Amino acid sequence: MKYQFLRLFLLFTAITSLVVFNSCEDDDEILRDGFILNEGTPDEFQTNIEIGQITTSNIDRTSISAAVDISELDPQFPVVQHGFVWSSVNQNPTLTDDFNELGALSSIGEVTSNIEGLDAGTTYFIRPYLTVEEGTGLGVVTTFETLPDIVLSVNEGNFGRENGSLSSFSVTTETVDQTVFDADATIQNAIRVENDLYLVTNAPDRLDILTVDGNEITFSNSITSGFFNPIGFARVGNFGYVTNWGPFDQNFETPDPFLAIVDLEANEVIDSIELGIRPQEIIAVDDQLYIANERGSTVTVLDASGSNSTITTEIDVPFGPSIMVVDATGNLWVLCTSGNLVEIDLNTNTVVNTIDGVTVNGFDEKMVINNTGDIIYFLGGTNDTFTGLTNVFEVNLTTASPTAISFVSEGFAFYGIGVDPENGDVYVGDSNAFQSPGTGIRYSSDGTQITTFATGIGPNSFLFL
Amino acid sequence: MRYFLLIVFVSIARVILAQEEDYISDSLLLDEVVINDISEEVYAVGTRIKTISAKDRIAEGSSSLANTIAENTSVFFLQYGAAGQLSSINIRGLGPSRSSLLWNGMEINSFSLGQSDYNLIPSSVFNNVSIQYGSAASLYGNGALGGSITLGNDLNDISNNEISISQSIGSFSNYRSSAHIQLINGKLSSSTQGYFQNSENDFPYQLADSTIRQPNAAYKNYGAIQDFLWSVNTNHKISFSGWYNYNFREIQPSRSNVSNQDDLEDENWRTNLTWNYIQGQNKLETSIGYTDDRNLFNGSSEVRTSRWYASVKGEKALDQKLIGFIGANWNRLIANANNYEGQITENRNDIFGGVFYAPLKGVNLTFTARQPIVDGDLKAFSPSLGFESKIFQNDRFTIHTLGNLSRSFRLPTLNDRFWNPGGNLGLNPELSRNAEVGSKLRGRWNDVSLSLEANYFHHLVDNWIIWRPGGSGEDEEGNRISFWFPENLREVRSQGVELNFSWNHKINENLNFQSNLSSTFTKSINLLPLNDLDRSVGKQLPFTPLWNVNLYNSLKWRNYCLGVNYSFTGERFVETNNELDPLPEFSLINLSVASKLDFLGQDIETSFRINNLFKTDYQSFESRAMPGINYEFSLQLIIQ
Repeated sequence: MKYQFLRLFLLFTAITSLVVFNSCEDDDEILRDGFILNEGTPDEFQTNIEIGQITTSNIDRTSISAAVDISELDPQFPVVQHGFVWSSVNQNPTLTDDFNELGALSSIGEVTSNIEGLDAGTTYFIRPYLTVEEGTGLGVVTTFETLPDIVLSVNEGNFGRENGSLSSFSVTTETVDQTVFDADATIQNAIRVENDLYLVTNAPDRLDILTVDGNEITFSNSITSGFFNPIGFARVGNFGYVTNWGPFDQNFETPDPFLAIVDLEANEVIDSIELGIRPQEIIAVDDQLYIANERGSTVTVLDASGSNSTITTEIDVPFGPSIMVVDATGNLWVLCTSGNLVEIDLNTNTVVNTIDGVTVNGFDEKMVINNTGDIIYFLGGTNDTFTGLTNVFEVNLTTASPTAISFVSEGFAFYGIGVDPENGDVYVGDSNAFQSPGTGIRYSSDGTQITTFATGIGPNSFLFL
Repeated sequence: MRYFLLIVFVSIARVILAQEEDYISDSLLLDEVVINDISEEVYAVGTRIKTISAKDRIAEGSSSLANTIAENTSVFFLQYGAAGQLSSINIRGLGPSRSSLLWNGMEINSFSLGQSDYNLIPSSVFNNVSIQYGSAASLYGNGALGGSITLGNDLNDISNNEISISQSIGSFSNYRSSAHIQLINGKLSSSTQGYFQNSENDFPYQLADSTIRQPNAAYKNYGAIQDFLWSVNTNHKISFSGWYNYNFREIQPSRSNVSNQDDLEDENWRTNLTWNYIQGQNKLETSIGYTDDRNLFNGSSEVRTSRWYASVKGEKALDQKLIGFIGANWNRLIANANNYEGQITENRNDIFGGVFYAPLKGVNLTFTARQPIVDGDLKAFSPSLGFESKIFQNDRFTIHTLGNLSRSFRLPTLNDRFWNPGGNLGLNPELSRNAEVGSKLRGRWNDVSLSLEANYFHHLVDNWIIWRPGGSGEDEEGNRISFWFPENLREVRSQGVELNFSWNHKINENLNFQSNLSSTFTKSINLLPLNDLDRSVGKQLPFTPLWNVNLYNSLKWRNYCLGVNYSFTGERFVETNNELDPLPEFSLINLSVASKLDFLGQDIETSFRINNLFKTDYQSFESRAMPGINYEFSLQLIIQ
């Protein structure tokens, strides 16, 4: 909304004669009726161009939309270039700062532009500029602040106490918000696909669908039937695929696991497929689904096609495939509770590489890969019975023979892990033995601890908004 | 000699006479009685003991031991849902497994869990329920850190044959029946009791915008208790008690989890045979016992623990001011569970003893000690030193001061040690160092009697056991698995104040007013971080309210009684860091009306009770719904 119209003066004049109009100007620029004269121009003249003040919208972490109203042009002074200038340092930005070029301007109306490449959580100064052949004029300065970088901690919660939650950590301000989303359940997995965030919960069994808009998380929908001890989620098109353990038998085994197929437009489970072996994670690569059968020695492959989905093959792996990531070459890496990290060529669905003898948790493994798809991080323990999950290992896939090397080795009760796609920082969640809200620990990619922050109870993964 | 006997006997007389008042030795107020057994309470000098009389329980219509204690004291119970669900005791902020529960002298806390479910135990079948506050492991053994609850039926005071039957009906299809036959024939006394309770427990509660009926919270409880006392002659008495208890409950799920169908079945057999030999002031008491506890989760996962018990105690009066006792017991635990590797056995023995010394009139001192031995290994030696002293007395008021220093222990449970996977044989017993001081004023004039009591307590518990995730091992097939496991990780300090006030005013022959106020302030904090990231040091332990207050007022007119019970429970954190929103504080008011009428020469007692009169919406445990207003009507016929 425009709240002020300013008359454009392009005044070619001596700097000293105009200083009196602006007591706060600096770096040799002069403010006159809201416009600043371009530095070093010798003469003075006036146009009839009228321009409003910038309004900003769609403020995000690295971009905003800026709009300004041009209500009058002056035929004597055709505008050969226009746009916006901005700076996080210079409170009166000029063309020596960041700017964009929107070209010549021949008609009045609103000028809009998406300003991108900004830093998150930063205050910026922005104003419009217009260039005529005689020089460049600058409009009134407006300030805005980009959204901070937010790391979402997915907090599993204590089982049966409905205290699973999402909490946030602002990388910029290092502040924590414990109230982002209260799941009223135990969160097993949180998977983001585009702007939808899917929470797989149990006690009670549900699939919650949330919408991500900038840094805002809002509840969208919840699917409450068709699941039984659900654990993993993947989406292909408009269908979601949820792995379920099924009910426990008297020996606490789960003889009837299944895959629930969810129509994400109707928001209901439309079909299920028997799985045979208790599954853990599911991952989608294009239209193929891969299910890690943690209580067996196979990865199940399906053609994802809604209720027509079919199992196409089973890939033999060591015992206990639990979690999977896809690397830069498109190969699938599977971490097994047997202590093996295997690489599968998805073109042939065969194991092409196995790293033996890694120390893992033994259940519900936690593994992530960085944004460039060449460094894997996973949580591991020791071979001692009563040590706890104290280690993070990294596997650099660019080396000739990748091996798991120690990344962090002095944890207490590690439970979740994430890697920032922007900068490769590694976030590790410590559960504090589920006695209390846990702690997120931020490490740089060289393993240096940067900071710690409070999470909710049982931080089992991290999402980066 | 008479003076000495009084000092000794008053501690026990409290039980026998079913005194309603809190107890501190007071030789002035009680009559001399004949005592046959060796009572630990004689030696519990410097601690506070509260007895809840059978009369109170009938008037209040309480059904479970949890309700009875909660309504008569400021002891906090953590209820995992509505009536019939797990109810754990938390005395002085030390948690449910740090209180001892004894029946006829035998510890009956679950050996697998180290705690008891106080909702599984009907209170009305015991004429002796007493609560000893504070640490007394030297007297009561394993787990007596925060307090000890003793249960039993004493048949010494049976004087007539009596049959009573009662029937209650309450909201949410709650039906309760009981029968009691009490017989005395010369030297033989018998008490036979049976009880049955069944409840749908489908109370309504609000979930988002809709009202739903609580699913999966029904329960059923029945059992029987048989007590015999054979007074062979003046020197010999033989008593037998047998108790069978069965409980089935659907496990109330969290508020949103309406489809959960878990259930738990509990079955307990308990027997005890005791021979008392009395010769003057010297006594010998020998007991043998057997208990068998079975619980079954979802009809399949079973934990079964049986225990053989034997104990022998001797007491000797050394002179008029000094009495001492010594004893030993033997518990052989035999446990089988789906998650134990084969049959587990453990021998738990104790050697104990103590002296009671009254050096001056009005001054009592005790020293007691216990040495536990587990499978031949000496564990935490636990001594205790106590005193009581009368410091003021005139014709209306008496003031006592008291204090106690002690060390107590809690052995790791069978689950802590043997649960597969995760059981940790390397655990040490929890140890606590305890101190308390207090004072009690008693007054009596005209038709008024009052009691005002204040206690400060301080417990420091080391080697506190918690379970944590991240254990690593292999299953039977050799596959790697992950599990939770226990470790001695915490150190906890609990301190606070107990304030109790009671007032009894006999307004006229027909009208009596009584008021009992109990309150506890408990600051129970963690002293030791689990690691560098742990933010819980100095923070209040979860599910431990700072304040817990109970006020019971009753007005009796002839054979009618109106009772109002008010309770306040302060906010409780749900985690150790005190970072998340605590469960809100809440107040409840229950109202009861009871009458005792003559019907064809027999007594008929009726009571009507309204619970949660003001429909308070509250949670005892996180995310468990609790019922709003509800009603119970009871009818009891007593034939003598």
